[in-house]
Amino acid sequence: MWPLTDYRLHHEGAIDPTLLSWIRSILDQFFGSGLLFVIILSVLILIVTVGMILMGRRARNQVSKNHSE
Amino acid sequence: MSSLFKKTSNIFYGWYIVFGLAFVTFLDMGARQSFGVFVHEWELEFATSVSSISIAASIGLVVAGLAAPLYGALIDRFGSRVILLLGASLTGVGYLLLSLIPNVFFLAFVWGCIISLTAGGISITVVTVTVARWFDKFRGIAMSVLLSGAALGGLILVPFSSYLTDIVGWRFTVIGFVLLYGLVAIPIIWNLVQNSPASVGLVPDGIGDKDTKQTVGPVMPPPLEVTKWRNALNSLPFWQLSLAYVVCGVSTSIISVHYVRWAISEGISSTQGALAFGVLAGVNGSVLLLVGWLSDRIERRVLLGTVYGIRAIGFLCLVVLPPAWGLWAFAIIGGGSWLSSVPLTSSLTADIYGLKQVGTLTGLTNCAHALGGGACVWIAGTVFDTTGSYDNVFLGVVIALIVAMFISWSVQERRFSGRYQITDTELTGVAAN
Repeated sequence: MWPLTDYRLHHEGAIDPTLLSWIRSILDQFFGSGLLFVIILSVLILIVTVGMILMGRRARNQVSKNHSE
Repeated sequence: MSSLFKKTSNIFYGWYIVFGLAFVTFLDMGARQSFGVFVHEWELEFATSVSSISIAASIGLVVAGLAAPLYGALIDRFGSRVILLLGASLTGVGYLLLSLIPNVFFLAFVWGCIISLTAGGISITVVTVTVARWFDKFRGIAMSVLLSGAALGGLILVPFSSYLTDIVGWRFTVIGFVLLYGLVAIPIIWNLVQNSPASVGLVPDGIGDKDTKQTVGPVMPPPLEVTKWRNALNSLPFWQLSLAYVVCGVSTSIISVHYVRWAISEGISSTQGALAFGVLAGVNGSVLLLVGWLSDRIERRVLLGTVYGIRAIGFLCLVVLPPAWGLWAFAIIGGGSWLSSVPLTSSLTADIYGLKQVGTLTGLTNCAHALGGGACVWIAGTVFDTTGSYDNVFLGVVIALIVAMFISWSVQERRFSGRYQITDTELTGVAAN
């Protein structure tokens, strides 16, 4: 059964447990603790989301305006 | 801020959809690939084995593969926007249920059936078809930007899930995914995604959309454009693209699972093997964008065949080079061809068969990709267990990739692709002359 398990775990852009440990060891050097990484990434995700929505809405309104003219 | 908005208002609206969906795919892939982070937690909490947990994964694999054509047909019928919204909402509910499961049987049901089925609504099939409808001339680069989100999702969000699990436990980490779907994916889809350029008064690529006056005549439909997906089954390009794509699934799936194991069997440390896989993923992201950019300038079939050919050389390196050299050669050569076949195949399908049934057709090819890949991963494991070596497996993949290369090169793109059909405007000009 292991091949299918691994396949699912690795599907579409693999993350191997060893690779994950390696990535974490690098991140630990930069952020010191996982908590800081989690907070920074969460804030970034929120900023990107709000930015995308605002700019997208602005662009869509512009398109609608041009279309109605 | 207002000047930023002013500048961005000149950007074609389709690019907002591309970046929005790339971000949603980034989150979705990260959440799905975090399954691996939870395996050890489930093993301890449910007092079960990895084999039992793997049943959930296996069911999920089959369900997701079979759901692809179904979702393709649904977006052809109802449009992408409603399917993406439903997919993101129901997947969020699925993760909420996952956070409540009491044992491994519920894991098999919730992950294997519910999440794997509902996540099909925001899968690669659905997002690529959505983007295909917004672009014609720049379809290749748009697809590549979209898929770079998938490539980054695992690398960034899986460590995030891993840390979060250490801090708050796996159940609250899964609730974090619910928040990502509810507060990020759904609002982005709701605010940005539209079914087609025509639905907001634009034309594909935005060419001539200034002041909404079209300066380019309507493009002649490709000769093989289908209004019923079954008609595509009677034409050669569909089988050429699908067969080559199955080989793509076989090669990527085998290497995903067996690359690190191969490294260990050759006396290379698992850390080095995993690091090489990380390099492969990084090279993949950069080359993906380059291939997308090139595919808008030269024939896509040529690039697609070349991608398979390069991948065959990568596999050959694993067999003929000393293991330490082969490991890194494959990381760079294989990485350069890793996801590049996806935007090329999806774009060619849309170019040749038009946009009316592109969802179903892309879903069918993705289904073959997933199921073929899953089956061959199992076969490769069995061959290794029997012979103690991956050489025969990798040589078999090299031969299959060479066949896929010639099949791709033999697609008559200039004859069948909409990109090479003369437009009405050009036709009028020719007639006048």
